[in-house]
Amino acid sequence: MTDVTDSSGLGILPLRADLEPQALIEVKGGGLALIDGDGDGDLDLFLPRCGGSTSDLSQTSGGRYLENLGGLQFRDATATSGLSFSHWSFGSAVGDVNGDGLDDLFVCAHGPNMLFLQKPEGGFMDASVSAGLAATSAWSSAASFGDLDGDGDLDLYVANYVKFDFDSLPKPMLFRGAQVFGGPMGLAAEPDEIYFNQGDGTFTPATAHFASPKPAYGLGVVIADFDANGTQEVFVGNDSGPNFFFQRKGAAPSQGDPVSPPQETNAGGSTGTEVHSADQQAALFFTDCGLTSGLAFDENGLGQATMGITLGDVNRDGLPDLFTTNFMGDRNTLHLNLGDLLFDDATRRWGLGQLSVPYLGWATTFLDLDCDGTEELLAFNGHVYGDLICREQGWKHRQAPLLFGQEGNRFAQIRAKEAGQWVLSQGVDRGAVRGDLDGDGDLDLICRTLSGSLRLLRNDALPGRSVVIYLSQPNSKNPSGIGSRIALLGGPEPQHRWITSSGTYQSANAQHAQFGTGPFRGPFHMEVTWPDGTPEKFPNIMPGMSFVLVRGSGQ
Amino acid sequence: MRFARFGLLLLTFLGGLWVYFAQGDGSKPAPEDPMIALIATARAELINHAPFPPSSRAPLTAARIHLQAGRPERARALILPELVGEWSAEAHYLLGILESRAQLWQRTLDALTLALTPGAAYPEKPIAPFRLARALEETGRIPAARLAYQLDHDLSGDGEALFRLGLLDIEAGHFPKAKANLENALGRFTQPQARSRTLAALSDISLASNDLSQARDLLEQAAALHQHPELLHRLAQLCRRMGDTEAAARYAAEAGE
Repeated sequence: MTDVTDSSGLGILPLRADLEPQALIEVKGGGLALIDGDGDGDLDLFLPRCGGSTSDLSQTSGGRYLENLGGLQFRDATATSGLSFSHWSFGSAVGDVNGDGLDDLFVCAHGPNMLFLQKPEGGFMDASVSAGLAATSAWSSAASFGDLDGDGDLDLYVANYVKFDFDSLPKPMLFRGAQVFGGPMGLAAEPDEIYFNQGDGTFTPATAHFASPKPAYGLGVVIADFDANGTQEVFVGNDSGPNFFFQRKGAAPSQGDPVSPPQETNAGGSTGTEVHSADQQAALFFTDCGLTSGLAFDENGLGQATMGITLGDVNRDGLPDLFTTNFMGDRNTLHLNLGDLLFDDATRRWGLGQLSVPYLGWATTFLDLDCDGTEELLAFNGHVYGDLICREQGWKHRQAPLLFGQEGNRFAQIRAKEAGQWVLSQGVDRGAVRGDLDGDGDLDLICRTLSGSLRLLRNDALPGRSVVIYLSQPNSKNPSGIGSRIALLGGPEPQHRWITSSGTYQSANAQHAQFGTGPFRGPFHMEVTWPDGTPEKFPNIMPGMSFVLVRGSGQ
Repeated sequence: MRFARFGLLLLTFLGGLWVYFAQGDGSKPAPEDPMIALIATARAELINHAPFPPSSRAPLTAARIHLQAGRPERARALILPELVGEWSAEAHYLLGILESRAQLWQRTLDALTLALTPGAAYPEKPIAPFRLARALEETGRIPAARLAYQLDHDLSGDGEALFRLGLLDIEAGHFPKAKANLENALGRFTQPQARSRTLAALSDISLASNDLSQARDLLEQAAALHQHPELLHRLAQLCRRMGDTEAAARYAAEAGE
């Protein structure tokens, strides 16, 4: 990887200088989003703005839209993008909510959240109110789209954090002997919000369809089919408490209805429980199986901070394993997916525990940097407390990322000698996104710091050793197949990827899947499991190419 | 004096050689970590050293009393003026205790580095390597932590360093060595809590080989010794994994889930 920020146009001035933060809300953002916002086929960048000074709100709100000009060149196109707002913004999610073939952008804010619909001529329009998503006044931190009710369109889960009033900042508290800003402990948690899409990009509140565990400090959310049964589950990473893991049941327990059994598989048909009628939607219910699944806590039953979230298949069984980043003094956590919605905290056995303890982790992602067919694991880090306090206490304010390579059933740190100098670059990092930004088949990265500085890391892997896959569901309300699993088969080992609308930390990655093929020349074949559980095979996949796999076409 | 200095240098060099070649897990220590040399020097000094005399510095003796009584700020007030001068190493050792209790690991490390100054004498110097190892581990300097634990074990012979080494071995994927270290530690522990956490760590090795029954047996032994919510949570999760929902529910209830 090579840091090409300076030549990319992304080296814009930080939104603010690195100040000594005075309040919790100044340190919890933010994310990034990759979205083709002008229909030219490449990925543009959205940068939520937050993390400024609570004493000067006007200078640190809104967002920036950076147009990809090709060749890893970007320009600030905020003024003409239609992404105009004044709230402090944190996370974002990308998905085509109205099925018009154009990706839309949801932005989490302190105050009303925002939905920006992409216009056919390029740019965005604010549809927050008309879509029914602007009613909240909560501090929302992250969101994810997914087909929760099984009707084919993209529903929305919004993770909310704490009740926070700019006019009445929480009192400072002591942390390991240092006086720091207050929270989140001691502050009231904001309940999360869930919305069902009505099929046209308008939403109705669906929180009543979810079990209501005690509200928690939500920081991240990812929606995927964790047990490969054709329905989507929701993992919510909560700060300093048990995580949620919502599993869809067919009927609300209050009505005494039995859980609908999965339907039989038909050729080309669904394997999951599909919900089409309003009555069936009304009967849906999601239970929180965080505790019984093992995802609520770490192996010792302790709540973690759970900032970053990423999915990958480290043991090649086709089920998404889940990795989370945590606060300093705690370990990052690898939850191995055992099937049947059971997870095993295998962090120590996989070599991922102790090295992460000094770090305060944020964005994390699995990605095959060297295109050898095995995903590396990357975590960006940076402290929440200011430089002065950190220096006094012996903590690192700016922290380097952690990069791990997989060797059999464990991970080992990859150092600068092999990875390059970028792994030594220290920052107060937060969100990050991955995607093939220059069309050369490997995954590039953009990381942001708390203050909004960006780093663009160009991947210089050997060409011709990867496959990039885009999904297409024609005539669908979820054209890009969010919620699908993609398997690359025919190589030495199967590889799996999941298309999600959110990840890393408060961020939205590119919605394509990249597979490293190493020296193998193929042909490979793909198996896509569409969001409703329908499998479909695609033969003759050759390395060094990008493919759009069209549902129902087999090609 | 010159010969004494030469002797110390020679010992340091030999210690360094030992450090380099005696890595039981086959991993080479990170050469860039200056702690490696410091631990080698400490090894050269402390191995076979006669017991150090009691402290003769009154403020530091008083600081120890405050530390034992849980009065850190009063201890700190007595320690700080002593950080320079003849009793600097001893004062830094006590400061290291204070910092480690506050989980300020880098500051612990800084203090204990000076506490291990060659030639300095205070009664706790032989146990400083263990505290140093904990700080190294918490600051992510694992190869140096491993060496410091090994030195502590060679000095004290007790099980705590072996237990910590066993955990690091699990993390490094060296399961046979982890098992040996943990079983060795288990043989030395007499306290139920220490035996319990060692059995729990051994269960992790069983999980690595997918021997769920053995893992459960070890965890149940551990819980019988010390019924801690963390253990019960692990047992509940393991029983769920084994399909024993009845036991899982029982352990979960006992864990307070």
